Amino acid sequence: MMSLSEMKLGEIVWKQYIYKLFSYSDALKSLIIIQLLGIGFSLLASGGGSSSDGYITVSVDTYSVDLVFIFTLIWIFVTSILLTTKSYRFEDFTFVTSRLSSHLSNILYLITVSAAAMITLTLSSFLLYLLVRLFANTPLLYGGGSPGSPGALLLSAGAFLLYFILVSALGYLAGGLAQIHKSLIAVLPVVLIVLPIYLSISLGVYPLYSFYIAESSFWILGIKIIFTAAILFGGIILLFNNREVRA
Amino acid sequence: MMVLNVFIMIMFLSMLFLGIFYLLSKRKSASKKRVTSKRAISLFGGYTAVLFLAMCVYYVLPQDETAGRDADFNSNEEEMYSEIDEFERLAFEGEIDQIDEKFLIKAQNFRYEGDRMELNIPQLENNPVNVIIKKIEDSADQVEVRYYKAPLRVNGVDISDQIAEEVDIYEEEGRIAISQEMHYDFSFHQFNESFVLSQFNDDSSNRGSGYSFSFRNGTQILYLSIPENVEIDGLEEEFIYYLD
Repeated sequence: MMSLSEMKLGEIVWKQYIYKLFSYSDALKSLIIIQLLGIGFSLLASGGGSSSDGYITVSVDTYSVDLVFIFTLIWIFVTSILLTTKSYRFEDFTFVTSRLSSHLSNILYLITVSAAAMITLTLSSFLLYLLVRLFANTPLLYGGGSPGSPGALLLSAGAFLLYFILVSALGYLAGGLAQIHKSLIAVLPVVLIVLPIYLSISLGVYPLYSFYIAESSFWILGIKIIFTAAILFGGIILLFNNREVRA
Repeated sequence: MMVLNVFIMIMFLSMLFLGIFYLLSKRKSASKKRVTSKRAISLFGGYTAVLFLAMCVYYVLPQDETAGRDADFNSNEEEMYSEIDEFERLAFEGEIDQIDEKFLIKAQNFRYEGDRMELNIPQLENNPVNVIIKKIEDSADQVEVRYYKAPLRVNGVDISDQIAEEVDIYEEEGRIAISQEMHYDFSFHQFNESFVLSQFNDDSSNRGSGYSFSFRNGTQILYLSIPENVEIDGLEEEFIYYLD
């Protein structure tokens, strides 16, 4: 009896997941726009620095996919918030559904689009590299011309995916909370994104986030993020399970 | 200025946030969704294909001259630095004759009969000229001046060929001067791995800095062989080394 019930839940979740993959494909379009925008900005606004001994000054402009990564983080955050809005939630009622299956299919969907974003982000470093080589009017610095070794790219791809999952869980929680208290819609982005950026830039303080960004072991970071995401997703499932059927 | 930058960044991210929110919250009817979903998936497939193609082009493209220098840099970095260390060792130990001629920028001999010489050398805070003096008993009033300089290296690569060392050494009434009118600006670009990756590096000191390169403007050595009775003035003692 127990296994039969779980099977049914699995089937429902799978159907909803497949439906969402196709139905919410607008998210992919916006992902393309956001990443292309990020690549464009990366070409224009690079970091860099210079060093001089008085006679000779060496200046170096740097390019990387960091901006594309930040843009994609914001994209996944917004995408996960939107999944909790009424418009998206009501679509689930076209299926035989429960709150649990709806949340599970949403989580699967978020992991899938995170993986898609991870793949395109990792590959976009090559496109950015070629564009930089094409348009940069300065020579390439010796030893500074590669998007990374295959091993480094794999590692960064894994890290991208982990951060996307973490941010999607944060967004999903934020969206869920915002459905309960509308005032949180304005407060949450400030608390979760703007405030940490402000603190990190102006004061050099990395509240809470250092728990993740200061972790030098990929595997421990993975455990931390998966554990955190599980708590966040689990929290929102519990929160909504105690609410009325269709609010 | 920093507050302004933070404000601009926050405004920009907020606008981006709202833009994405607007873009994603435009919901369509079910029939329209079916059409657009196919289009969106095709578009995404096309985008991924373009990115994949970029990766293939990156790996297929032949390495250019600069990349060739990369290879030299990677394989010979230790050798290059040990060469400079050897040059410095020979200079400070007075083994001037054994220094590789490629480090010699200018050499000059002249006759001087006085007993006091003044050095007029522009000293850079980051790269001062080290003056090595050897007093010769039977020099017959001959002064030998040799100016050596290790190559300018950026990330270990010698780029001395891109600068013209316009160094002039002259003596005038007991005053030895070096004029070095040389101001060069080198601009490069580099492609960094994502900062996300830097958290897994053992050396976290450079985390998030966004750029790093080594720039070594060569050690400067001025070797003076002077008559035994001549005293040298005009330079801080910390940069003067007398050989036995």
